[in-house]
Amino acid sequence: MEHLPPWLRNLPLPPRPASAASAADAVPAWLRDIEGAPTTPPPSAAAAPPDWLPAAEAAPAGGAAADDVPDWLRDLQGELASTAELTAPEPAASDEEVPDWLREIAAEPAPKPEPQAARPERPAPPGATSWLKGLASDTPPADESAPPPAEPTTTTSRIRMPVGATDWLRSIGQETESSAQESADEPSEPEPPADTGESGVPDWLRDVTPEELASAVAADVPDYEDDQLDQVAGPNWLADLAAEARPVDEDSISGAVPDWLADLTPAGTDAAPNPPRGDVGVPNWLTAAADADEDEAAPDWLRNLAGDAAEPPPSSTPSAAPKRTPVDDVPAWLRDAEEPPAASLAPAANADDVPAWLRGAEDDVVAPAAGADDVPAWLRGAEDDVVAPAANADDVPAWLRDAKEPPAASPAPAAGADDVPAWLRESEDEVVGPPAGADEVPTWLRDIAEPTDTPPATGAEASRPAEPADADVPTWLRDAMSEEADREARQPGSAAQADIPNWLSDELGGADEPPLRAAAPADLNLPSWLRGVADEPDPTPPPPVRPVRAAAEPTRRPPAPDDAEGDDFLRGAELPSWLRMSEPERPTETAEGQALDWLTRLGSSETDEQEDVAPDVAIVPQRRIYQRSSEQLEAVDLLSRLVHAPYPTPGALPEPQPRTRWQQIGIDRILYVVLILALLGGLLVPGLSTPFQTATPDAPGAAELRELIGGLDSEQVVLVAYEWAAQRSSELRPLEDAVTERLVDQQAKLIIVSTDLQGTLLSFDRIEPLREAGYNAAGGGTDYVLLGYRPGGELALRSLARDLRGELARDFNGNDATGSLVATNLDGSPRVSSIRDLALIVVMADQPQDVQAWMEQVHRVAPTVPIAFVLPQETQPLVQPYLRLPNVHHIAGLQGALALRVGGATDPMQIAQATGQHNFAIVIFVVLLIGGAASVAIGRARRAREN
Amino acid sequence: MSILRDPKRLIAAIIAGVAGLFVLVDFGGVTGPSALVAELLIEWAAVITAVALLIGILSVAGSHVQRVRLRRADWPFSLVLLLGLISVIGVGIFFPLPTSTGFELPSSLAEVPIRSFFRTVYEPLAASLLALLAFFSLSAVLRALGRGSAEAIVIVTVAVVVLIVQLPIVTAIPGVGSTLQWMNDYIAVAGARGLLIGSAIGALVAGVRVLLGFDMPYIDR
Repeated sequence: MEHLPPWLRNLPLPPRPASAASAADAVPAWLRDIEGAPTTPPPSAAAAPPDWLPAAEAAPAGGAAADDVPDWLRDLQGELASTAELTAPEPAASDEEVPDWLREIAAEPAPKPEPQAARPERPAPPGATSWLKGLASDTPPADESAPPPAEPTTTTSRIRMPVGATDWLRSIGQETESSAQESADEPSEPEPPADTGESGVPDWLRDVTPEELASAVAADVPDYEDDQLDQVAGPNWLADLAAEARPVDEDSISGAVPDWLADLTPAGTDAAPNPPRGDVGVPNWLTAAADADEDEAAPDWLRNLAGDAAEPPPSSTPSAAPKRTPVDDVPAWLRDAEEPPAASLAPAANADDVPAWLRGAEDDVVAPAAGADDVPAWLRGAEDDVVAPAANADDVPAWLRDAKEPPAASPAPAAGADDVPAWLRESEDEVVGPPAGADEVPTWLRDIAEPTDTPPATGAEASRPAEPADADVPTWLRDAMSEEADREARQPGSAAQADIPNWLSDELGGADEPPLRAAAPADLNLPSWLRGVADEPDPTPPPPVRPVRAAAEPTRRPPAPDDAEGDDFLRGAELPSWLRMSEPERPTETAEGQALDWLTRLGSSETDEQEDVAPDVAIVPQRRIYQRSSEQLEAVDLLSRLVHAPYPTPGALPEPQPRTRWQQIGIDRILYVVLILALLGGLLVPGLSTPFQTATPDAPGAAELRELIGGLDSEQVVLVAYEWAAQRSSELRPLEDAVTERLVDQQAKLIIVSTDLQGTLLSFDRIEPLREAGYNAAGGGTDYVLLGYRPGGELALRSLARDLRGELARDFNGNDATGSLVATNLDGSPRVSSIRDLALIVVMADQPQDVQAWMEQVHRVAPTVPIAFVLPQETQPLVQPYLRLPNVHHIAGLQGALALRVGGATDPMQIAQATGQHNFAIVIFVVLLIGGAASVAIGRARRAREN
Repeated sequence: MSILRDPKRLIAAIIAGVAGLFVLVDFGGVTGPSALVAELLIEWAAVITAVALLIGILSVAGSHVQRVRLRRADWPFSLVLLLGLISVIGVGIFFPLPTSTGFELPSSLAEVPIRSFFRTVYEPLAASLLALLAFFSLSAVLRALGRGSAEAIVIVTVAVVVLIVQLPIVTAIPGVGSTLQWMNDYIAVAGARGLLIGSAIGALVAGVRVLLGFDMPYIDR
């Protein structure tokens, strides 16, 4: 299946006929129709029958190797094996290079030397569809009076056509060759013109006349001789192909060919017996398939078909009208293709099924089919042109018309030559016509048409070393290429190769180049059946031909094959832009390009199937070129200018103005030093603060608090809370001393508590002064109770406010203080049951939150109990709203501490000195502040004036 | 996600809300079982706070030990912190005290070693740190005046006036004292009340949100 053209691979296989009786049912109708063709030679292109054909004739004794054989090869094997029995084995020149299956093919009977009219066909590789091969084999009887071809055209044509070739091209090649040979021997007798109703024939193909093709190919057909064929450098199968071209006697053919194929073999083809060849190059599987019982392997319908084909070949008289079984299943076009010329005169009822183009080909051979609408018009025209070139000249492509034109008419290009692809036109011209049009002919087609000019390669030539890539090329193709090279050597410098697609140009280059270059990697771009066409040894190395198309178009990346499996797999996926392959732009679709487009796709498809690496691509896709807008162009221009613009020379920075000494030091540092020196001077020199001293300092709330504390006695309990931190010790320590001094003076009982960690430690410092003042803490607290730290902040205050006596149950050491004289009177009655029993609450707080918490948690519970806040100077303004409430007293700052001391045990002189130092510091600070502000203002004014 | 669909948040919100409601109701002067429950909750809270304090000490110590061990940036400061922590604990717990019968370890933080350590080391450091405020304020005033903004000029002017009027000499000037008192009673108190009322409203809203589970600081939300 791998050698089948892609369009044939997916065809469903028909069920294998269980018996001979049921075989007729398995035969497709169109083949059954073929059975009715009495004189038509067997289909020559059966080398690559579609899957349904080998499936019906599955070899029973194929062996293990036969399982690997493609079906179409199995069919071929049967034919070859039967032929091999009749032909003598010939030595294989290069068996190692030949694959087994080709070797087996080579084991076919060596063709006898035959006249030119014997139409030695080049081997057609498998892969061609049978209907086309049959079509090609139908062309020899163009000369109706000529004896039927002595060779089994089925075998030769099958071998001739390479794998994967386009069917119509294969047919054209054979038709051309056969026609050319015939025309070389004797002028062809014009047949009645075919009908002109070919609607499906491309114009470019309709224009090709059979004469053109025949004459064009005639020159390419080599005059194979037995010796030459035997000495062919390629594998033996090519020599065998030459031998096949010789007439084979009927007995040998009938003995070697399976019955079903023998039936197909025309009667005229068995006239020349070929000596049987050995199975030198034939693989075992093919040999086994050949040895198999063809009666069992071949379906009945094929046997019948062969029988029909074995009937006498069609003559020029259309009297031999075959019996045809009108089977609707058989495509009419194929039915007609298999019909002998005589049968063509009586068009089948189902001729409409035949493609118009094939119907035309059939008509070329024998007679036009009036109702052959199904035959593609282009092929119909091609066939008709062989006999009646002028009839369908409009439908046939020009290039094909030219190819079919007789040699005499070739120099004058036909009217429709414009429709002919240049490459095909060239093929015609090179073969028969003037070399002017040879430029447009693709090399591969030229190779197909030209082997007749050169003698077959000798064994010595064939044994010339080839490049490794050439090893896979069949010898017959290599020979064809070398023949082309010879011809190119005579006609160098084909300028019209610009019209040739790359994959054909590569092939052309391979033909032009010496054998060492014939197998260049560019050959891999070709379809498999075209690869090595021009690989015939040519001693003269022509100048390398560059792929014109690739050079003309900017190549950025190799084109992805459209039918590549990977692309198909990813085609529907959402790929990122960078993974998405750019959509190749189709080259400008000219008439010629459209004609060659399908060929290009076919070639690339087959190339991909064989997983060949394509170093050079024939058709280079162009990346889409987007039109830039004017804004984009401006932006690009701006960006380009910016990129290419030199960096601007950095301008010299202005010299910084030298800073003065005072500026370097900084005014703030000067002020710091002055402040430190002033404070130290005020301490060291008491006289400096003397002007600011006062013996009766006054502070807000000091007088009220002094009166309140002065009203306490020794039986009253005062709760003192330490809620301040050590950093406020400069203010709160004097305040603490002043307040406790007053309380100690009044001998009030004290409960000391703290909800602050530092306050707790600070409260412990009060133990020593209290002891010194006669306060006793023995017995759980005679004069004071040190509760210590109460965790929880506001919660602790809440608990304290709710149950003060309960809090007294555990002092800072864990001792119960409820029985102390502070909490209990001497008579055992509780002195303090709740917070309301307190005479005064003194809160030493440094934060507004402390004041807020005590006010909210404690003072709310006991609003009648006076509460006095001892605050730093900065906190007092913030807690003014609380301080203005009734029973709320406060004293703030060092100045308040001094004011509280007034009238106490403290020496007034100490109070005056402290007051003097404090005021001195304030004055110094204010002076420095104003002085600093003045210096800053002067500096700003100076800078403003300078600017 | 809604709080009703998150059991973790729902349970925490219920516990916090119920406890807060009990304390709030108790704060309103309601007696009876709710007061007992509120008192119990407050005691629990106090214990939890003490434990949290201990955990905090361990956390800080562990963090700084890690910094010193890994030699991270500024690890010497962490080392100083650890040394201070160990010193305070060592002095407060393991410093032997002479007694009539020999030596004994400190029984509480009220003992002399820890108090002396605190008074001679920590208290001067803290007071000096605050005393730097005089230099900072001076520098800030100069920078503010250097920018020349009107706001800065106003602030500096008011600060200078407040400082000046504290001087006994200025206070003795007739009319100055009464003027300062008036400004203190009305202008300063008005501003302070605004601050207190604003903070109280904020606290009220925050409390309601906590009680209703909109804010759950106990689960870092």
